Amino acid sequence: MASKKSPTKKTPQVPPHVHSAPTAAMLSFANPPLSDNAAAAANVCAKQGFATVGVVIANPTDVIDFSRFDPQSCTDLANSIEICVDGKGFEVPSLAGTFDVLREHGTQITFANFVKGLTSIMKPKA
Amino acid sequence: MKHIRFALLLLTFAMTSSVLGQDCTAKPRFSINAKTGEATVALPGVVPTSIHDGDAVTLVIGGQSIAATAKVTNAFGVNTIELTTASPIDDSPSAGFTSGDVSLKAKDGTVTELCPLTPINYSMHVGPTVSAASSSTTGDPTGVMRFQFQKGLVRAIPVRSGANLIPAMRNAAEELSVSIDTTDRQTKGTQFVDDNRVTGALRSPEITFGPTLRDVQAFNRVRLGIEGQFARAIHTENQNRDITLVLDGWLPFFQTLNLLSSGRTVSLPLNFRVSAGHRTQDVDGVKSGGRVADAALTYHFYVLDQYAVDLVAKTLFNDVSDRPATTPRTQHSYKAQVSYHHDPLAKFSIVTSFENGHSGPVFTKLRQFFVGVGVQQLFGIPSK
Repeated sequence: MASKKSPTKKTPQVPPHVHSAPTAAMLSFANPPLSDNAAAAANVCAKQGFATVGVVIANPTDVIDFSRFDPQSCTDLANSIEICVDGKGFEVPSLAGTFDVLREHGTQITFANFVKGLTSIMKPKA
Repeated sequence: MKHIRFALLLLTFAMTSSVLGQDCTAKPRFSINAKTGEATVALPGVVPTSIHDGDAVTLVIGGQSIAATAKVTNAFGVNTIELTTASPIDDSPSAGFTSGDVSLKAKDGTVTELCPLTPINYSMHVGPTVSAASSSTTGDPTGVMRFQFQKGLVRAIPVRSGANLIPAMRNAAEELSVSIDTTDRQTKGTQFVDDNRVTGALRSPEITFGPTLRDVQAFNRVRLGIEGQFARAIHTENQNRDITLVLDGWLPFFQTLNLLSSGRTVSLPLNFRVSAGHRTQDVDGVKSGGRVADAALTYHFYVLDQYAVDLVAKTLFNDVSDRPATTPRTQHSYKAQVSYHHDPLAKFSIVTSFENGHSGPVFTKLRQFFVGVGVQQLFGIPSK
């Protein structure tokens, strides 16, 4: 059933509305920029991924030493992050191979940089 | 005879390790996203010159060709090739892959072999599987024909369900391989190959359980498995049977420690592995057998921000009859390795290790101290 078309009203020219500080803050939480969403999801999923393989992350400055990982732990970490990221409305390429190369290279990376790296390859689900 | 027995023992270890896992060092890795089913290749070095962004490529898994589009990108500083296929890759046991071999064929026909990290479900009913070597016959100068045949099976068996469980926690794994390497007749007075074996393993899904402490549970990714092998010579009566139960996992209560350090470096917690089983051998008419068991603990910690210490403690129990007099019933070995937690741009890395105790059938008693210096970069090009 076609909806009834509302009569067209002439919109008066008004200057752009500026929200008060509390309203702006509330709106920013309700509709945060996509990059903030991705960064927050990456942070949660990375922490959850490391917890899956038994590693406790206490601070963003913690340095993750991939050289002491084994290939199965790299795959488990990757799979955990992939599933978590998907649940938050994003997708990432498969990560198991990448983490295993980090293991081979003996990479050490801070948790904060790990989250940045993860954020950079996340994209909203199609 | 002892040499033959020792060789059989080594072959047992070699075969078991080849079935249970593979070393992807320096090879391009292939993996499949646990949620989307999309495939990615991670490269330990540079992108092959034959592959460019946007190229139409062919992914070959276990004899099946899948058309894909390559997207050359970079993740965490690692060169990767994302492969977009028409539909997610079906890696169920019914997918019909005939082997776990994976390769990528570029537009110009160049083939790059890939090392799969995601276990590929495949069947032993069709085609060669365990390695590239297929059923073949090759001539021999003495006129003896050599037969080689290898086939395998890897299958994930869904045991648990849950949208947030990783595949290793959902599936049990079943592995079976048959390997025949023999000749059509036994040549007199010369050495000949006669190595035939059936190896199987069944492992439970990984299970994390126990009280939660600092966001992680006490027992992490614990897995129980049963492994067995039967090896037999066709031209003689020699045979070797092993059956072993294996339990392994991590104990997150023992996180990596940082001693006298200003920062915090983290890695995997304390790892344990316990196995126990029974071995039966019949070599040149001499029958022997008995219980065998081993246990190992691995732990890492960091000191003064610059040094990483790796500790490994092993205990080996060998109650096999007709054991050489020099081999004790119980052997313990300890190894501590200190490596300089170096700057990736440094020219050298230093590794020091100390090992003590009895170690396996080779050394009845061992005490050694090792200092090594590795060249970290050549011609000013960082290796990392």
